[in-house]
Amino acid sequence: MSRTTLSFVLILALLSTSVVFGAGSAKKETPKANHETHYNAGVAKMEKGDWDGAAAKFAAALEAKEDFAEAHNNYAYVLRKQGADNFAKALEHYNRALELDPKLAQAYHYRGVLHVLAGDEASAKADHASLLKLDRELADELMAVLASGEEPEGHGGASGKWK
Amino acid sequence: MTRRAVLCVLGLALASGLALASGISGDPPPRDDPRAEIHHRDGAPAATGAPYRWHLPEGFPAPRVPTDNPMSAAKVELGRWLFYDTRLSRDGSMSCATCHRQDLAFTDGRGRALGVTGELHPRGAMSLANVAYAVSLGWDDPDLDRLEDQLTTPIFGHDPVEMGLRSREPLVDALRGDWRVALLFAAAFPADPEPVAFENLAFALASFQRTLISGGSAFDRYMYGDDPAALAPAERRGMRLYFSRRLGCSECHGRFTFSGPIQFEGSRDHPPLMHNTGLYNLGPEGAYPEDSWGLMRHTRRPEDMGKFKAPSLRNIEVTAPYMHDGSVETLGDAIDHYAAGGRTIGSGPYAGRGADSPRKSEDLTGFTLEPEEKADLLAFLRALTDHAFLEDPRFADPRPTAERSPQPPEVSPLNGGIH
Repeated sequence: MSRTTLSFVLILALLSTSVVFGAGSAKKETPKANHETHYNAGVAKMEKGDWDGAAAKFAAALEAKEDFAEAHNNYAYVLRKQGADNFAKALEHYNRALELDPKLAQAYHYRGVLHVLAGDEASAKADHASLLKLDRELADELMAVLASGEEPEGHGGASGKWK
Repeated sequence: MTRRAVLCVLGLALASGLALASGISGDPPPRDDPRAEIHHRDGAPAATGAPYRWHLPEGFPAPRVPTDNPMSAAKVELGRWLFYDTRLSRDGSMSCATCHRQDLAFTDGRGRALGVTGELHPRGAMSLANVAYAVSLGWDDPDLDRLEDQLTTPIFGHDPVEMGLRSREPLVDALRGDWRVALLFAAAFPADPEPVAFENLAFALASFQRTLISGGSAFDRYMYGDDPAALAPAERRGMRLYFSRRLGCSECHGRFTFSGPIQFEGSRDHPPLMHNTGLYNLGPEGAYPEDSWGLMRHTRRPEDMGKFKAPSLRNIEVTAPYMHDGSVETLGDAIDHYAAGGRTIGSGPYAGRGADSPRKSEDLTGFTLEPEEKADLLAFLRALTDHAFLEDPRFADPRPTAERSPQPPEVSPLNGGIH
């Protein structure tokens, strides 16, 4: 390669690098933060009933931001949906969600459901009592779960997409 | 636009005008009708007063109250006196309490209510327990949503005649001449120079009815209180059945009111919901008897035939007979009706198999129930009775016993059932 050609290639490389970096720094303001992107992807998978896929996404969201109450709430939900073996781990995440946000009504609702399914009626009633003060509609959903012992339909106790 | 097109538009406009005038659209009566909507009189001062203190059962939210009729203790007390006042009927024989007896959870024990002229109402008197939370009032009118406006129908309605008054003025004159009631009006509307007015009567009666809150049953002590033993084992088994997906009772009789859609302070808005339970199936179109069309009476849409509101099942034990026309005598029969997915009437003018009705609501699919399960379910329904509510002196006739009107004679509960 001649000296002239080498200089030309180097200049081109320099230019393209600056273009890429330039474009990158301009884009940095638009995409959502990493934890939100993982979280929203998790919600989408959760709504389709893809518990494994959703769990992976919520776990990634929490890896990026541990103090993300909604992600703990939804991670707990999909863990519970994966089977009774995960109940203890799900409970830990519900507890952490409520530690981070004591007014997160959905977490009381689905932690109450978890307690019912685990046979802990007293704890479920305590969550119902908390819910009565926060969200009367979700409280009635949990009342029906407490009364029937059956898991509710839908995702009433899961948190929605992050906007 | 051609001449024919203009005529066509004019014709349509005329037709819609006639429909409105005939009440098909559900438009309110005109202002000179005694049943016209209740608003503050021109020049009457805006309602004021200290905030009202609700006596809410554990777990019950505050009801939603119209901004033009805030609650006050004096208004509630006036409303209680008026509720038991027989001057609200044409011949002084009936008060609101005649069809809404406290000991029967503010129903009357009849299949169909009986008016002052002896005319039988097509529908039964609904319980007033927790009426403050209802999104619509009565059995089938989705637009009737204010107690202040609803109460003019029983007082002045003429099809059917209920209490039979024809105009507001004679009633107001009579009340004005009663110093004790006039004082109550003055206390309830202290800024109003003419407190004894029909509008204020309606405001007070509505305020009293909003206080009729029932939430002291064994179920409430179990769910909202701290008494896990409040329900006996059979009642708890019945509760599981009631809320189960298999029976689906709580799909229509749900929430803390055990009823259809509700509203309260801070709640989301929900539209009224009505159902055809396959009680009748007449002809190929699944018709109901002519005086029982339900929601279709108001909308004129065939798909609304036989749709009625799901009433609250609180205190259901004392509100027999059941359904909008009282045609189901016992709670056990009501369960059988739902288990079969509709009622079968073998003979007579209403013969038909309700389960096959093309108009029946889709979620009424029926279920199987073992005899012991039925007994458990009945036990749970009886655990929804709030005995304290049925005897609460705050809701009773305030007059001294000697002044009270006698209770109507006992009647056959099925006087309005299947003919």
